[in-house]
Amino acid sequence: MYTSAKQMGLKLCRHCKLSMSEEQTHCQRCHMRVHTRAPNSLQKCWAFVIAATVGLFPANLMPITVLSTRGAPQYETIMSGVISLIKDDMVGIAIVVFVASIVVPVMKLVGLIVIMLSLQFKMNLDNRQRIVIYRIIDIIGKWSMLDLFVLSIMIAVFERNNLVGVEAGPGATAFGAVVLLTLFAAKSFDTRIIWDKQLEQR
Amino acid sequence: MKSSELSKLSICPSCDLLVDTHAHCRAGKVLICPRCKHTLARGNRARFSSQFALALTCLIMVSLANTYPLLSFTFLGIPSSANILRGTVLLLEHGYYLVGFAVVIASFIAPILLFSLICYTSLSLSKGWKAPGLATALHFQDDLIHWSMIEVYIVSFLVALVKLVEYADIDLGYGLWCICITLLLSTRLIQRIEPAEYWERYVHIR
Ligand SMILES: [Zn+2]
Repeated sequence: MYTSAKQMGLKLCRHCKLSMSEEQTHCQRCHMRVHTRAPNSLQKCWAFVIAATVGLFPANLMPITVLSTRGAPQYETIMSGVISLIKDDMVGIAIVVFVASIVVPVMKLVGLIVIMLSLQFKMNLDNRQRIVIYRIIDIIGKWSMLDLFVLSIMIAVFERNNLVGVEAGPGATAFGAVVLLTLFAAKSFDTRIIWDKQLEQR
Repeated sequence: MKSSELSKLSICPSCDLLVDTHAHCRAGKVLICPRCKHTLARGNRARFSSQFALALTCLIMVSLANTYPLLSFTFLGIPSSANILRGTVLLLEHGYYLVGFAVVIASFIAPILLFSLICYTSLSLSKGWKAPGLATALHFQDDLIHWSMIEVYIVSFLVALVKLVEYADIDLGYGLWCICITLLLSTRLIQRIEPAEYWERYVHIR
């Protein structure tokens, strides 16, 4: 059977990967504080997830870009931007933008909520499935920055242009906050607690 | 447990499993955690001097990418060009601080700082001299890996490019090729960074 380091009174420094006994408070190699498990990992993760979920509403409802063509300003939200891309026959780009700015943040939040709920209410989910969900979340996480990068490039391109102007809208700030909060949420979750629950149940 | 026994055991950072590395680890082999399939160690070790060379090349390429424009085009007689920093400067000027800082950190500050730190730590460790602030540099180096998003930036650039094609004729700038080369090299560089290896060497020279 598998033995966790915690059962043997050992712990690992997350920074430099040094093993040590549980009594030591600081790592002797890199001088950082070492915890057997990241303290309050679930609470922190819930806080970030809830904040990010709330932020999804202004991020998707408020305009993320303001296009000014021939005077009249045109407000675009994430979704209306995707729809106008489809209308302009750029379906491929529309899919990329849709996946990066809507599917990825929502998937991250749903994934983290599923993992945490399944741990807290002892649902039937394999530990292997939980870690696979977490690793997918970890890999796709940074791709939600895509729309903000595109925005910054478009702004730079149309800087000295009298006919077409591109500017950021208030939704951009909300969307940026959602992206950062989801990144922090994934980072604050200590994957080692997935296997701890199994030890308690036995 | 004695430290000599501890060194033969390895703990999986992802699932906290105790793994007997002595039985598994052979040169050229990859050690994978049997419980969560996390890669614990790669057998072939990168030399610090080659890491330094790679990081220095990355640093030069990313600096060039920021001095040349990524693209230039003419729209109704108005010439225009774009580089990485210009967009974030405009975002900050218009009061979008959160977006501006997020973009500038992920596309500019994090990669440059990361490559500089790897240069610094790798050179110091390969030469065996104890550079000032080496421990701090090593800590920052591991954190920055997650914040460098060059690959996302390049895909974003392609998205912007396709959107722009309908407006005007576009000339791709040298900056774009530099950033693509940076991506290729930095992927290899980051792949070969093993924090434990750097810290082991750090203890030796201390
Ligand atoms: Zn340590």
